[in-house]
Amino acid sequence: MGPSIVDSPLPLDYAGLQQPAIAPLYESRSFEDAWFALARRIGGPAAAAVPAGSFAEWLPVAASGLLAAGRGTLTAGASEEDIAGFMEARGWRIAGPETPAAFWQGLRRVGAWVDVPHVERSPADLLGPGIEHFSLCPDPLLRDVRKLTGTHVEPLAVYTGPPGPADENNAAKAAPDTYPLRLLLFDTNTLWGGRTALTPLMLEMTGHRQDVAWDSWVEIHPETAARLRIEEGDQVRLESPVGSLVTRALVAPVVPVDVVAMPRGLGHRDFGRFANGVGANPLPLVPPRTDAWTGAPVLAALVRITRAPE
Amino acid sequence: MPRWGMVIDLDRCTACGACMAACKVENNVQIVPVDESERGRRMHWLRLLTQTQGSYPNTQIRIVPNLCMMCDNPPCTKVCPVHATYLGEDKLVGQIYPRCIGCRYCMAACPYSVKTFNWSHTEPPPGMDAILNPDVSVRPRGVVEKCTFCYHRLQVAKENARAEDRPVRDTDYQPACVENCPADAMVFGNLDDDLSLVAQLSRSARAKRALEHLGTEPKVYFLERRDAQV
Repeated sequence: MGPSIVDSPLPLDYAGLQQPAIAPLYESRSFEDAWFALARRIGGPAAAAVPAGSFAEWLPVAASGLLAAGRGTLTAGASEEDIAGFMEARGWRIAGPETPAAFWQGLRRVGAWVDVPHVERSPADLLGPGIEHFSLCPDPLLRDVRKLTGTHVEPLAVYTGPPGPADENNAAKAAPDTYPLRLLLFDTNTLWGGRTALTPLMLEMTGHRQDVAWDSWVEIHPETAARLRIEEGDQVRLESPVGSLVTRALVAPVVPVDVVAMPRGLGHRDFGRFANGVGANPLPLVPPRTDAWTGAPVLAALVRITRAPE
Repeated sequence: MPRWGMVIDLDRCTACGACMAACKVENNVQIVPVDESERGRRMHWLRLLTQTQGSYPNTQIRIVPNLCMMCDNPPCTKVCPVHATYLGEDKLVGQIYPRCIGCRYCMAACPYSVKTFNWSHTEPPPGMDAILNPDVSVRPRGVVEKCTFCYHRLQVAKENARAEDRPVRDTDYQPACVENCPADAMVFGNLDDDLSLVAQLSRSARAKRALEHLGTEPKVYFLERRDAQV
């Protein structure tokens, strides 16, 4: 039995390469070579349908066609396949061999090439609006590795752009100047997303590291706060395309200049005598979306901040 | 007589607040309601002091648990006109609430700002009085209170040791904050026992005491973060 490219039972473009289970016995040939020889002996269309040379010589030529297609990824197993396909469907291209010889070596090593059907996703479902290039291996790290090892190292994967059309329903993206800041929500270990807001002890300790009690806050970078004329403790209004709220400002350089951060877990309306009406719930600011990778709710939104009258 | 002290490893502390919560519950520290809290009247015997250095993305947040340092030379006891705060035989700084007249001189004298004043007395919400610790008295309005190293636990340890006709051992008692620290950042014990962990750690090169130059001789040591030593 000789090496062969097999069809995939999966609903995707797939090519697998398998080593012979046993070496040809004596001077016998593999089935494919016997079939090639038979076709040539028949002549005519049958002979024209088989390539010149042996089956083993034809395989690298056939594999180079996969490389030339500019799609798909070499994979080695179901989980890697899943990951590769998952990433590819979301706009990632995993770095692979660039020459036919290297591709053939890679295919022999891992045994499979797979091309996952293209799934359209909006860029907002991936990394958030406005992000067009993202690398799992940052450039400064790559530079350091190259410097240390003296070798050329390529990033494992580079995000080259969203595969789907832009999300036209994203009002924030349509008018970026209207909502210039990114809101990130985080959980505190005292509130656990709101589950422990039942107890006055935890409500009093809500912001035990920020010196805030019984209230929500939004963390703003000092430069952003100065630009917006917001001072520590000011009441501010946060507005997103889908909602708004009022909370107090906490000016701290712990967030990027274009980002504001707010804890979730307060602002309950029906969660017992202690939690009701304490702080603000930031979830109404967030469009109802889930993360394409994890299925978790996207706890982020584009917002604008203004000082709220006392 | 043991000299009780504490070592807090700032490399291990994650600022989770478990010590704060444990302290409040163990010592019946009043949960100050919203309106009083807004006026800066929150009450904690143990707080986390936070200092942010640098700017994003090179931000470092330094967090230091702040509680009574149980000074061997406490400034607070010297200014109390009624001997309500005193250095006891255990070398722990005590507070006698019925004697306190609420002058708050001790609060002003404490360089660590660890004492708190009962601006009002709020009854626990209905149903929550059941969580009060029966071993610790509830303080009235108008008195100063502070961390006692969970002295009521030491009293139990002493009674147990007396019943067993032996001295109090280093491991006989732990304050609630130490007991509840999930990162084992807080170590408590007899500073005079060379074999105790707290004594060994207090002699570490990383060990520092807050405002040492004031000569208050605090018995709480902080192990500096390793990155801060560079």
